[in-house]
Amino acid sequence: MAVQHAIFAMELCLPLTGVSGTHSTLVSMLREYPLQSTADEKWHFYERVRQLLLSELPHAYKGCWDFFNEDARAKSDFEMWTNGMLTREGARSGPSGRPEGDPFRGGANSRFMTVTIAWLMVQSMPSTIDLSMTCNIPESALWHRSSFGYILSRMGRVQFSAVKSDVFYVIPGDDAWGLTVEDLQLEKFHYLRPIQG
Amino acid sequence: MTTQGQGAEPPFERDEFLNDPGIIGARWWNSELKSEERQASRRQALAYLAIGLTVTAGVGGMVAAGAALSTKYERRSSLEMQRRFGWSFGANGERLTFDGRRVLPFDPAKLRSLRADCLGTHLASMQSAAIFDAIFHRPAESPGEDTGTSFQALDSFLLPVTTWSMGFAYRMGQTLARVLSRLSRRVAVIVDLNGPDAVAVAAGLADTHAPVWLLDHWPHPHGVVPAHMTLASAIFFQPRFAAANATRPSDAPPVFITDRARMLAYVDASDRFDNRFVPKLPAATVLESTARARDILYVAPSDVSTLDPDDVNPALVAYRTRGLSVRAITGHAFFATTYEFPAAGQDPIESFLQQSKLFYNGDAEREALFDTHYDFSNPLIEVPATPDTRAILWQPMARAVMPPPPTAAPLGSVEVVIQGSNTILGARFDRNGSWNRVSSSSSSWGG
Repeated sequence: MAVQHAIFAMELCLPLTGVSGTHSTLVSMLREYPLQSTADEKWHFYERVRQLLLSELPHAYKGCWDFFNEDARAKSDFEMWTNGMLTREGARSGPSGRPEGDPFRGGANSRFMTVTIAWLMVQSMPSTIDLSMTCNIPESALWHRSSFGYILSRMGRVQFSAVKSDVFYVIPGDDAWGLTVEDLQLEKFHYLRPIQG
Repeated sequence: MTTQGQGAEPPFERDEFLNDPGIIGARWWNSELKSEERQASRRQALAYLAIGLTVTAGVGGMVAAGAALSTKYERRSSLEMQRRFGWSFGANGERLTFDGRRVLPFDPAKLRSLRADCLGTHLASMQSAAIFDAIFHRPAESPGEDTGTSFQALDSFLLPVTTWSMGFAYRMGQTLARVLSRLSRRVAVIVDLNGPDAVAVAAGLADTHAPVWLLDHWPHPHGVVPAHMTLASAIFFQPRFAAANATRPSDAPPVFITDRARMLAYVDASDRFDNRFVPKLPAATVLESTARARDILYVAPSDVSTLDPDDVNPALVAYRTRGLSVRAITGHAFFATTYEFPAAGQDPIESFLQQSKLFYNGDAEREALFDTHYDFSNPLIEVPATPDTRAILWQPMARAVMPPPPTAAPLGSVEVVIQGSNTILGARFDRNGSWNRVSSSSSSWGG
């Protein structure tokens, strides 16, 4: 019987500030992460990511998350998320200048970052089933901040023996290339919705 | 820490990496799962080849194929096959994957006392813990087919492991011990969470409740139920169980430990090994006479549509029918509005957990509501508004249990290859078995 897949993905758009250190931490983590790793190291990597995102969640501006338990959809969506990275679709083609002012109130000088996680999972594994239950969120609460928080809080339960492939990327790589308010209004970012609450 | 099986290469390999000013990111592949899929595809292809082979041999009268074609498939009890041929029946040499935080250092000699430390001496007649038999078991016989891989006993693979979820469950157990001790009633606890978490809850309760293990399955490299993780959890909490055995009152009520993952889906003829089982919950009369408990708290997962699955529902209904009080609780009831970390001191468990204390209903003040919410002698007067209201209001109800389809394989069984009248060659899914090698060589046979 062929392996059946599921996909989990989450993307958060956060203010890019020099103060929190989240961007520089995530970039360092990616640069320093080894070519090969155990499921243990993988879990620790995402555990740290998860903690950082949870701490930033109160300030998250936009976001989206997905869980699909259908093999064909899982594979095509995972490819889509991967291509989002490989084609540099969301990245700027030039610098926007380092962030200034109050990023939490918006404005021309505000800069933003996106953090994207996509996991291609094996359907029958307990972790996948557990995550599917976590993501069984009422439609009215899909975009609520507390739903993002709930999912993030339970992502640490995932065992990476259930994850066949994972993609993780941060836009920008250099904080002088942060996304602007205008960038986020482009059609290519329409899948990101304002986070409620 | 998560660990792979012994001698394992790191399975995650990076195949894409971008490090531009505009974007930084990477993609990794889990080589273990990729190779599993390749092998699954190969097995599928071999199955198709085998169909063609039968026709070819019939037409051409191939003598060479005779020995392999005289085999047949039959289902046998998975546990029986593991007891006869070893815990890794059909998958000798394959690895177990442990996810979670590995705890070092670990003295493998302590495995010798794992069973005694975990079971204690109380309520021995209620224990149903075949899982511990697997650790040092060495089979007396080998399958009829030499697959070229040797048996290695389970003890050489086992490690203590802890996960975030286990830490939460341990705190849940500690909280339960605290709130139950305030009630002037003997409350037996049935923990029906995934194995590692169920063990953790029992460890948290170990000072006040005697652990009774209802785990009649063995680990297997392809197991549907990750029983090795349950053992890894037991190894992690072994010092806690051992310490509690020395101080717990001899008449402590029981905490029954089972594994909710026993219900995981299994597709017949898949390459998984069906090590699922039905927990042997005691009869109501035994609970009353042996454990002297008339109040039962059923600990269920928080994210399930039905708190009591079909295999335990009849027992829970029987308890209620007999007049025992049966209540439920889930992880939703346990959280903390402030962080409070117990001092690690000399406690080896605390030094690794680093998770804050939990309260029933969020804090010390609201925790006092437990006595009202779980007054086993009286029904609730009004419906409380808590994150766990569904469990508070739950009562076991008799319901029609859907029978399995007539073609379904018996639970906890494995398809074996039998040659002649009763010689077991091996497990059908074993990719090293000659029944696969024969069919793969069919291209050289003319018809």
